Parts: sequence; C-alpha cells; structure tokens
Amino acid sequence: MTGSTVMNLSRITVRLLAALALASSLGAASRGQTWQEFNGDLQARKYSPLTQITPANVKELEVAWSMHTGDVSDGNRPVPGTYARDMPGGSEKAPATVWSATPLFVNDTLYLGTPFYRIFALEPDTGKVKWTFDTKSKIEALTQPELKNRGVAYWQADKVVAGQPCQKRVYIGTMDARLFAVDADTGKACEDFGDHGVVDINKWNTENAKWPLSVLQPPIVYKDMLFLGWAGKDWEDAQAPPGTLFALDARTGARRWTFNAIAPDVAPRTGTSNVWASMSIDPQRDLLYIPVSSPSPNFYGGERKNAVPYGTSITALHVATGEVAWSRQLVHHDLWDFDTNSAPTLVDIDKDGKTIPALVETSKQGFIYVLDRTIGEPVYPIEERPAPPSDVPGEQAAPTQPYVPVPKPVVDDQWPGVYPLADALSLGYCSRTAKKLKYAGRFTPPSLAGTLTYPATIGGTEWGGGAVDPRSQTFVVNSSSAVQIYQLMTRADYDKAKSNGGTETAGYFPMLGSPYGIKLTTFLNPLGMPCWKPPYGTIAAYDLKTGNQLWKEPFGEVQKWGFYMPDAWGSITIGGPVITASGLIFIGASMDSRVRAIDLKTGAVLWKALVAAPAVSLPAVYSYKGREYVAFAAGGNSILTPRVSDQVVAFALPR
Amino acid sequence: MQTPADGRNRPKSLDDQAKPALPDWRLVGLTVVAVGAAAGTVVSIVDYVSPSSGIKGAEGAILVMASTAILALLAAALFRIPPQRRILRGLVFAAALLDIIGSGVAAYFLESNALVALLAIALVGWLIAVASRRPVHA
Repeated sequence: MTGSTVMNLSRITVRLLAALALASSLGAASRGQTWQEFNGDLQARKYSPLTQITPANVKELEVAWSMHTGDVSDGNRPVPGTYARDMPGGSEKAPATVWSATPLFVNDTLYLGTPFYRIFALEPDTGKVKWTFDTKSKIEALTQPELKNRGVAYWQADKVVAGQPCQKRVYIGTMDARLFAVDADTGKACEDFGDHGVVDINKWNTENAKWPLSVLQPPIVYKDMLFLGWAGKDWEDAQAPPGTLFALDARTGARRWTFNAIAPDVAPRTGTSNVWASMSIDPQRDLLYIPVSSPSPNFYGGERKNAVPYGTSITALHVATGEVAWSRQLVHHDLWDFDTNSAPTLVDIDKDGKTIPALVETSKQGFIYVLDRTIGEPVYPIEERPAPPSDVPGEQAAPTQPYVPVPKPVVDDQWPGVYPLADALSLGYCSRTAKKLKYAGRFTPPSLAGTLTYPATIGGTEWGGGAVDPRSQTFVVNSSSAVQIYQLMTRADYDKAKSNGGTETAGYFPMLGSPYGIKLTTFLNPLGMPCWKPPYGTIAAYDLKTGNQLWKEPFGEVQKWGFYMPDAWGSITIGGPVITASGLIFIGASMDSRVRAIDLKTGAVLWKALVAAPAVSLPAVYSYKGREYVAFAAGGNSILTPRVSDQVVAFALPR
Repeated sequence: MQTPADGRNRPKSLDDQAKPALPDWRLVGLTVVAVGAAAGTVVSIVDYVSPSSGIKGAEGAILVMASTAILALLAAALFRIPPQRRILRGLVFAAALLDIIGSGVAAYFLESNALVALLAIALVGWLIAVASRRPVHA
C-alpha cells in the first residue's frame, strides 16, 4: 500500500467519521425533539434537551391547544354510545376512569391511549384528530376498580419500506388482556401481528388464573421486541397469577421468552410479583430493568415465607434471553404492598473521580436506591437494619430490612405525629385512635389490633418515579406523606364485617385463601381531614454526585369541597416530573388540577395553570415546526379526587 | 293639574337652601353592600359552572353562592327596617358582617380573587353604613 493511498484512506476515514458524527448528532437532535417513550426515552430519564421555554419566559406559557377525547366516566352515569351495552348485568353505569397516559410525540404525530382503550393520533400543533382506533374492549373494571390506561407504545422498522403497511406501529393494551398493533400512519390494524392485529395475552394466564392479565401499562419497545408486564386485582386473592414478563416480537406478536418472578414450586401458594409499572433499558449493555411488585397476599406472608426472592425487587434481565443479570430485593418478605412501582432511571454519575453507570429507583417506602446498573451493587450504602417483629399467628416478619440513609429518604423515618388542628376539629379522635394503634417505626408489620403504617402503600413515590438532568446529575422526585391503618382480621371477623356492610370503599379486602382479610384505611378524622401533620406532598432535588438533598419544597395544594388548603400543606401526588435542558421541571400530579413549572435550581414554582382534572401522568415535552410544547393528559384519579376528565392540553410560548 | 298647595312644588325653605345636597351615606353604604353581594352571587354562579374556575361543581362554590345571596337579602332588609327598630337593625348589621367575613374567608380559600374583591367592597360599604350618622329627619 503506497503512502498516498494510506493518506487518501485516512482522509476518507476522517470524512466518514465526521459524517457519522454529524448524522449521529442530527439523529440525537431529532430524537431530542420527540417524546417517543412513556418515560421520554429508554433510560427513563424524563429529560428533554429542548431549551425554548426557559425559567425567564415560562410565565408567558399559554394554551396552544386543548382537546377532549370523549373517553371519560365519573362512575355515576351511563356512557354515551355503545359502551353501556357491554356492561355486565345490564348496568348502565360505566366504571370511573383513571387516565395516566403519557402522550407520545413521534412520526410527527401525538399518540395517546384512552381508558376506553382507544388510540388517538393527533396533530402535534393543533390537537386535531388524524385518526382513531377502537379496540372495542369491554368497558368493565375486570381487575382494577376503575378503567385505567397509561398510554401507548411506538415501534418502527429499522428500514421503513415505503408503501408497506405497519412499518410504524402503535400498540395499546386493554383491561381484558389483549395487545393491539395499529399502523401509526393510518390507524388500521396490523394484520401480521397476532390474530389480525391482536394478541390475547390471557392465553398465557395458566396458573391461578382468577382474573385476566390486564395490560394497562404500554410495553417498552427495543430491538424489534416488546417487553410487556401486566396488572391484576389487588388484595383480592392469596393465590393469584404469578408475575410473568413477556418478550414479544414487535412484528408478529410471537412470544420470544418469558420471565417468571415466582418459582414454579411456590406459584400455587402465592402470586403476582408482577411488573405493572414501566421499565427501562440500557442500550449499551442490552439490559432490561424491571420493577417487580410484591407477592400475594399483600399483607400476610405466612404461606410464602422466604420464598419469593424477586418479590419487591429491581431486577436486570438480558434483553435477548430474559435471563437474570442481577436482582436486588428492596423489601424482604413484603407485608405492606411496597410494590417496586416505577422504571429505574438510568444515568451515569461522576463520583470520586469515576463515572459510575448507575440507576436510580424511587419507592413507596420512601427510599431512593442508587445502584451500579451493571452489577446491582449500591453506589451509596444500603444497610440491613433490624425490623419490628410480627405478632400475627402464622406470620414471621423479616428480621431485617434494607435501609437507605443516602440520598435522604423522601419521607421521614418516624410518622409525622397527630396534627393538632385535625385532632381539635374531631374532638380528639385522631390522638385517641393513634394511641390504640401499633407503631414501631418503618416496617411495622400489619397486626390484628391495627398498625399505623408510615410510609404506606399510597405513600413515598408513586409510579411516576423521578427525573434526571444528566448534565448536572440532578435527580428530582415528588412524593407523598400518607399514613394508613393496616388491620388484619381473622376470616370469621372479616366475614362478619362484610356481612354487616363492609365494602371495598370502606377499606375491606378479602385476601381470599389466606387466614386473614384486611381493613386498610387512610388515617383521617370523621371530617375527612388527615390526622397527621402536613406537608402531605413534597418535591425534592438531589445531587447524585454526592447524594445530598439540594432542596425540598411542599408541592401542590390539597383541595376539598373546592377549598384550597395552604401551600405549606402540599398535596398527595400521583404522576411524575420531567426536566428540560433549560432548567425547568414540568409536573402535574397534584390533586388541585394544576400543572406547574418549577425552577430546577431552587424549587420555586415559576408558572402554573389549571387543567380539567389532576394530571396524574407524565407530561411530554416536544418540538414541532420550531415551537416547543408541553403536553399533559388531564385524566384524574379517584385516589386523589373524584374529578375526572378526558382533556389533552398543550402549552407553548406565544407565537 | 298642579296646585300651589302641591308639596312637590313647594319652594325650598331658607334652611334647605343654605345646606348643600349631601348624600345619605348610610344608604350609599348599604347600596355598596347590596351591589357587592349581588355581584358576588353572580361570580359564584359563574365559578360554579366554569371549568376554568377550579371550583366547578364544588360544594364550596355553592356555599358562597348561598352566602352572598343571603348578604344581598340582608342589605335589602336594612333598607326597609325603620331606624326605630334598633335591635333588629343591629342584629341584621351583625349578621351581614359575619356573612361578609365568612364569605370572604371562603372565597379566599376557593382562590376566587374576584369574589374576594367584591366582598372587600361589601365590607367597605358595611363600614360606611355603620359609620354614617342617621339622617336628621330620621
């Protein structure tokens, strides 16, 4: 090879590399303008590189467009159209809707799933409907108490063949356990997917099949595969379908592999430990990170002692095979329904002169777990601390539980104590009740006398998880401070209470097949006011490089009968934040039906706007034709307030 | 046909001519209360039905709707209760003040700024009505 040839080859190589770098950066920019995944990206960072909306101009945000899908029910009236005919027993009332869909922006279109299991494809700058697809699913609360949907997933072929259908697809799951694939351009079913566009997930429901495997959370899509979990019926049965995760071919719907969180020999005695929340993927390592929920029955473990090591864990799987790369249990022998409930956020952390490929997992128990995502070992120490024993016959609580001192837990170690105002207004009800309850700090097991539980199953951080700014490695998370009362009841006592009118609404759940039922209530006074001290909701930022908390502020407002309580009280939240490169946090989540922009540096609220119902979802941040939009699905959740809606609203700066 | 005896055409007395035509501040105050309360009722109704109010369909909105309507009625009653019935007038004045304060606090917690402003105006009217001296002819 001559010197000139070498020179020419070098030049060509340099040019090729430059072209590749340019293409890569353009591709990155293009991806940055989309919001293609439930959590923004595969790494669940909930981060947008867009910078048009800044802390300086965010006050100018205005409604760019708003639309209503029509798919909403408050649970008190018939739903117009054909849906009412599908109700069992001729009931004309549809169940209430809980809508937590993240809008996806990709393919120049905004895609949403609805709690009536329809897909909407919208123009991103006007909200006009391009097409809709109706799964014609049963509008029936088969597993969850309400009709739920958290949106759709998107896939497209590596090489899109022009003129061929279904080169780009949108997927939606249903409560009756079906997964649909639809052409992203036309809204027509993809005939080559499953049976004419639909896969019946329930055909794989073979163990303790007491209810369908509801597909409420859209799958995560990677390398022509769909990774799919499911949701079930909480607190109903001791023996329930065992937690399975399915990997499906994105084109055909064929099952590639299955991960079972519960060993086959244990499965007949227990169940769940399923993956009902979103997941994340490390494309560099081809690892899938799954948040595994707690096993059934949720509040009594006498029949499942030490038998479910993947229960309430964060587990990493190889995407090609489903084999476990590593797993870390976050709660031993879970007796509190501390489901691992959100996708871990993947971020590289610069710490002590090293760059650590990390993941950050938030939790109901209020801990923030920072792990090396390659091996599952803690970046900040996790201590095994003694935990209170159980006095329930047949139960044996774990002697220790993992405790995470750094980063500082989002809720305190001790319950906040009786709020004097709530106590005074109820003539001492709160303090009298608190004295009767068992409480020995975190992880106090449920008891027959009643246990004051803090944090509890609706506390800490919900499925929205946190968001990260990968440049500053600042992690932001909203959380709830809620106190609940867990009281196990012998089967005879439970049956008696049920026959005397005990309902699910009143907190009675059977855990059929176990010796106990449970009464689970939130610790409120007779006026409906929380008995514990505020704040009830906060938002906090952490420096992941040090584990230090940067700031923590009350977040949202409690609204009761229309009255807003003081800002300092904050609000219970469902849903999560997103971060933009300009230093803003956008979040709905609070029960006051407001969406807010918060300064990432200080935690100060810079802007807020009213939407039709609590935006219990993740917003999508995207740009289209040079304009940056922040879109929310404002659907509501009956845990927060009865107010529900079908509104999609996009905010942008004035033109 | 009018006659010289018709009182309406009676020439003003020297005493009348010497005094400028002052407004009856008590009536002015009560009018402000009544108008503020009536406007508050309208705002409450708008809040109750408007999706952009944040309190659409809320029990709190119904409460202020009722309380401002009652305040308007109390103001109207004060127009008609003769000054001689001091105890009754005092009670109605006190009830009106309680209504204004209660409605104002409720409006504050409902975050209805327009309603808070109207009730502040009503409070000013109430103060004027209370502070003003009764007319001489009364």
